[in-house]
Amino acid sequence: MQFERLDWQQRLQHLTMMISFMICSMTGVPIKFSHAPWTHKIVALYGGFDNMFYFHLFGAALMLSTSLYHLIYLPITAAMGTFTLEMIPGPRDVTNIADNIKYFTGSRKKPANFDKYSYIEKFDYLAVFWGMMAIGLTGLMMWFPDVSAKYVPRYIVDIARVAHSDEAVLAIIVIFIWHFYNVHMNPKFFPASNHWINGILPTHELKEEHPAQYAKLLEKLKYETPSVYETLIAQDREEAGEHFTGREDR
Amino acid sequence: MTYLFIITILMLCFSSTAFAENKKLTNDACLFCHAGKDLQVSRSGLNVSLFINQQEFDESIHGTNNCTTCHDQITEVPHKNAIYGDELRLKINERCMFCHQDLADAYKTGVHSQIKGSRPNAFCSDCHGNHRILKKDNPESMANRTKISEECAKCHKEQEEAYYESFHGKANYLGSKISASCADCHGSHQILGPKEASSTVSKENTPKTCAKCHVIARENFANGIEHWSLQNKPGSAPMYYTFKFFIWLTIGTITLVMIHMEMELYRLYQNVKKG
Repeated sequence: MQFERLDWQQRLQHLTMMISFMICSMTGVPIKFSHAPWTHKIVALYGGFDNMFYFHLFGAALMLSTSLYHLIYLPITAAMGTFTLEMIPGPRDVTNIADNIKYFTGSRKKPANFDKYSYIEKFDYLAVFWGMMAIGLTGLMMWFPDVSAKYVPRYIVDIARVAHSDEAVLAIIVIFIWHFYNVHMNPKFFPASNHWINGILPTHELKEEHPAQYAKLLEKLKYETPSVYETLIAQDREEAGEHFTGREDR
Repeated sequence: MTYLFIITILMLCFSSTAFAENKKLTNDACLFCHAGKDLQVSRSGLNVSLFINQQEFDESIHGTNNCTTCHDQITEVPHKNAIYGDELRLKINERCMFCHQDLADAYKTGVHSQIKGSRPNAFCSDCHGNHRILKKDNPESMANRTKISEECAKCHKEQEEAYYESFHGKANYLGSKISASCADCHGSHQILGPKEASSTVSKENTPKTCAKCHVIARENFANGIEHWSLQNKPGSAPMYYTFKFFIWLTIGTITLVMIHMEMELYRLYQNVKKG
């Protein structure tokens, strides 16, 4: 029994964001650390700085398109009635964080009772939102410096340049340490989860990682397709009561 | 009139045979000694190499010249009136301008030709080298757009850090063929300070200089400090504090996520141990 957790729109946006992020990191890091001893070798791979920089701009265009696409996608989901505020942090996240710390330190038996998106996923999503402000807008300002100087003083363009690469380094560290830990290095998912490709989280993982979402799913199935509901409940009972936490918090 | 012309030509021919002793100093004769890799002389306590790499010289744009075209004070072996150091370079500067007259005026009006003490601010050879002068299109050339900024930085230390911090400088260092080198904004032979009205970086001319590449030239675009480094100085303070903000944002974020990761790994390890 499998349930789609991320629809194809979300997977597509993740994919283009991932590709453009890789392109921009690979071509941006040699510019940021231009005087490091290895930069000339990296630049030579692209056949010169100018080629590498056009590749960076291509990645930037793809990333900006993805972000714009997302901003258009949100109102469209609202029109279609599938818009949710599940990504917005709320009081649930505060209790989740507290519960998770208790779990890590041993004073709680089970992980926090996460809904569809845990605070980790919300952080990642909002980090991209902030990152696109800090990197996308500053990047555009540098792409067209003479146009931006029409509207803002010159030192704002210089600030944009500092902010662009520093925020990019932060983003690269967060992605390659934090995000890669959560989706690759974490013993629960190593070497990788297929979640981002097919959007499916196996039911047992869904039960462990997002108990509240699972509980909501059960509630929904109870009225829509009772047969599926019965199978799931039977499975849960089989796995013994201690492990199954569908509806209660602790 | 025709006869006069022929006589002049003949006299010139014979006069050159009359100076045959000078002609003896062919490049081969010079290289008889100067091709020796260990040839050196002690000048004011320093060992100065007198080695000339013949291959490099032959490949250079001046490879067809005589040694004595530039070293015209050398007339015999052993050299009696050999000069060296700044005195030699100053003499050679004149020899450069003897042929390159089209650039002589520009150089002489520029700030690099102003004599300071025993030497001008920059000799021709400071930017172009001496025995291995190449056309500036050659990527090996000292005057190539990817190399020239490093030559400028040898003297202009205070601008070096700021230039290589700028995007122009980073791109130029990594070999960009379109990013601005020092010479693109400041000119080459006729460099003038920003206070001179005719300078390319004077207040009136800077927008035009920027507009060589940035086609929408605006006063606002040129109105700012181009050479700033990430230090808490007037002018560069906004950039400095932006930099500091992101440094601490990075440190803070990474610390928090590392703690979170370590805690989770600790819990997963404990769970495995318990079984």
